[in-house]
Amino acid sequence: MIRVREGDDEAFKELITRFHGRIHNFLKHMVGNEQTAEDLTQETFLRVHRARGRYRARCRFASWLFTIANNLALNRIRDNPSANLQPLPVTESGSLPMSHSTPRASVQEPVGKGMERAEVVAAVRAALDALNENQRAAIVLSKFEEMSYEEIGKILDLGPQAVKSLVNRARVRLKSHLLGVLDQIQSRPIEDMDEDLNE
Amino acid sequence: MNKSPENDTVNPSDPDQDFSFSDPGFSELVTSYLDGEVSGADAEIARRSIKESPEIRLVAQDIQRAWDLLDFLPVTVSPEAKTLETLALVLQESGSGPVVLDDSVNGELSTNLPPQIPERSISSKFRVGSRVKNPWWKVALIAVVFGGILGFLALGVLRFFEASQTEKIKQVIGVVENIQFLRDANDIDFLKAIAVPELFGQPDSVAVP
Repeated sequence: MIRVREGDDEAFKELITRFHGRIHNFLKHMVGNEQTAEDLTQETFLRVHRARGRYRARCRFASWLFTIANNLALNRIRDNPSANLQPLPVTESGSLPMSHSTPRASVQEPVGKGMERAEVVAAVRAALDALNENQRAAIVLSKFEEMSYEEIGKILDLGPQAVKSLVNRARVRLKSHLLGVLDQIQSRPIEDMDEDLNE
Repeated sequence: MNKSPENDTVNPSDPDQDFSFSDPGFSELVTSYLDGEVSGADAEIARRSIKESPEIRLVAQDIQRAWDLLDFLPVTVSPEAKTLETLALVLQESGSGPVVLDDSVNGELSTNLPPQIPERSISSKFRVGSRVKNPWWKVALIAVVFGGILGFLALGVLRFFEASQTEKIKQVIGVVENIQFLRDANDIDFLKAIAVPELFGQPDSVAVP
């Protein structure tokens, strides 16, 4: 980012290459709309390029980038709520009808008793959409970006305790919305938790 | 295990404290534990509670399983073409260097040709073409704004001259209205002027009784 600040276009290309997909996915999870996410991704990088002179090295670049993306997503949702959070189309396989979209869960993995993968995807999407914007951002940043509470706090401009409460409320609410799905799909062992408990 | 009513918060030093997910503090502790955000005594409390209490273990498992379900959401792998489109758009907007992107979006980027980005690749918000296609409204807007400013200034100058003319007319009207008094005043001055004794040599003849 230091090189970008000094006008190095090759460095900016590297930066976009590295973060484009991550920002796009974050925004897609936030606004629930593929085209809006693409527009906002482009706008995010435009904002970064315009503001590159104001970037300070003490700030982690990813935090700065996701802060811009999150603010753009919030503005879009607040300005035009009806245009966002439209259910993403899912095929029977559960993936988007785009060649470059793939579910994180294994395609071969059995979903469960009489529940199609597409139904699970739709239910998870609906549960995520049911969260408020901050809760959704916290969940997405934690789950998909594997960010710590501290990093999430910087992006959402919240203190450590506020982030802890936010994530807790979000996870409990997510669980409540997905109880029906959890009852239907196969019980998946929680390896990490079991390993911890057996220590 | 007992929890006194006045002690609703998680206390690591109390091994007999009873926990429940209805306690926000404990719920936050467990989710933080599942996220790997706690350590030491707090982590030990969460670990022991999940292990020893079937109810807590069940809720914690559901929270974790719901978390795992997020893996079903499709994740977009951004193709290089999209990345290059964004780069071309940014460089075009900044004017920092000519960029060409082939319409087939094959990922090849050159920096020695004029900017050409497929219009379909650009968000409508950033389409420069749409601004170029309709320049007349900008000209009209500028003309209206400048016309308005010039008209305003002209009106101000006109009013200034009108005001000065009105002042002059008022002065003339004042003289006409008071002409009688002015004439009388002149007569008095005239009488005073001729009432000096030197003109007649006999002060008593002109003295006022």
